[in-house]
Amino acid sequence: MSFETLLLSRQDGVATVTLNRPERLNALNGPMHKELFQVWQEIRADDTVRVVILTGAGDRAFCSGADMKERGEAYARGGTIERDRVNNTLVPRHLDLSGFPHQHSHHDVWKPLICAVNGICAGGGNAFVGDSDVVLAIEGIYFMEPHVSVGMVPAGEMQSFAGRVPWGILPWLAYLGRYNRLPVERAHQLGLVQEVLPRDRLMERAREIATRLASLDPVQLQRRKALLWQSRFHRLRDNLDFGAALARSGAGIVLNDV
Amino acid sequence: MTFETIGYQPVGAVVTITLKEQRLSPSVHRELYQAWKAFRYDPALQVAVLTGSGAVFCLGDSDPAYSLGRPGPEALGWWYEHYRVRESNVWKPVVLAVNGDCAASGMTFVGQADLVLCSDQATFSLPQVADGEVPWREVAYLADRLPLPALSRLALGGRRASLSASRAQALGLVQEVVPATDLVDRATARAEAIAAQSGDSVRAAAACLHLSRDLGYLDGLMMAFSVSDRYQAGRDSREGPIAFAEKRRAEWSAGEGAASST
Repeated sequence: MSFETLLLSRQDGVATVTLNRPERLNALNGPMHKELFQVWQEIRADDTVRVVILTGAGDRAFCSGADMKERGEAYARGGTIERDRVNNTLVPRHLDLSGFPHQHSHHDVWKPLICAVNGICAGGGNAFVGDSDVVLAIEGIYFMEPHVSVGMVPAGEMQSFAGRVPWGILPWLAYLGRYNRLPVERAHQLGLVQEVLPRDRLMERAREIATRLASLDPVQLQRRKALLWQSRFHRLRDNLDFGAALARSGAGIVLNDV
Repeated sequence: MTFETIGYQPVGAVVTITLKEQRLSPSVHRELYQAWKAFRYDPALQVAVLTGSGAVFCLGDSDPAYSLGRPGPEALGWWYEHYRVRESNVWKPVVLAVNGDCAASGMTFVGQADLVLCSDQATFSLPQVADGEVPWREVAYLADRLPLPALSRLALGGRRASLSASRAQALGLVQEVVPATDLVDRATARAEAIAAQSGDSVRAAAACLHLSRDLGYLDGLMMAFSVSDRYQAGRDSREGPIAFAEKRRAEWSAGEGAASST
């Protein structure tokens, strides 16, 4: 399968997905939403893929969020965008999480996702970060949440950050819009980013972790991921019940040190 | 509006509310309730700054019995339930400028605020256990703002455990530490920056965050999408992208829906 807005490569059990619109700072436009939907389906179904790396093309941005130029031009013509139609047709969006298609967890992909943040990350790009298992980032970049500066609402993005950073960071990011930045060093201190690396070390380190994870039993790995994510979805008592059931079924509950 | 125990100073879209007393008496509870209500229903106001006076932000209740939420002779329980920001259902952001010591039920302001800025002299503590009291409300509101071990130490350590400004920032409880003399100016500048955004967007973002606080990830997403979908019917959600594409400043729907509580 080939894509217009993404690159997909597969090697030794590791799939690498690259957001590939560097001229638009890898902004999420209609085609990219559709293709991400497809790529997660494909990755879920491909048993040769055990681990996923997600990164962006070019030197400037990992992902600048929704393509506001596309959206603004469509609205100025009195039209809508593909995303609006996805959201407003079939079933109400809040009953159909695939209406938020760019996150892998909404497609039941339980293969570990390593996010290699290769440049600035803004708006909808943050949902990838909040949706990952391991977040690596390069030095000198920042995270930003500009939704309210363009009349939008940071809904899924901030939900995906909840639990990853202390709650007080969320409104501080969400309400100040383009007047605020979360520098990568602070993101690292708060635990949002696990490792900050020189640019030329980023993909090497991502592959190092991915290869290690890909060497583990793939079924056990996915079960362990499912267990960790369960704890985001539900409350403590449910987690204990779920963990106990998994443990009885023979799955370990601690992810191996990578 | 005039108050005795607090200051209430609206300037443009930002109102600064100042605690004039070190502790929360029944009068303070009552006046704060009235102040939050005035803020909420004033369409000209978008953001509030809450600060204290002198070296103290707030040391808690003047009588610990209030914090048990018992209805007192003046139905204090009722006032208590409403003087806090969220319990007044205000989705307009509140920027806290913690100018000094913040202790006991004063910490509930921190737990319920949107932005928390503090002076380099500020301290944060939960001394109630030393007096045989339980900081139950504070712990509940701080549970997702501090790592559990840090919160345990604060709640169980009584007077001996307190967080300095720099430690509170490192842990993420505080977002910005500012020299004491600049604190209110910085908080006001942050409030004005928020007021320059789409007010409807900001209030929808606030509702998403606060209403989902008690939910797991999936339920939180559903809540946030519901709020956001409802918001999409508003004018700003089209004006923002169009202004972006046309490279001009957006003209937000001033005050529209300002008093609604989502």
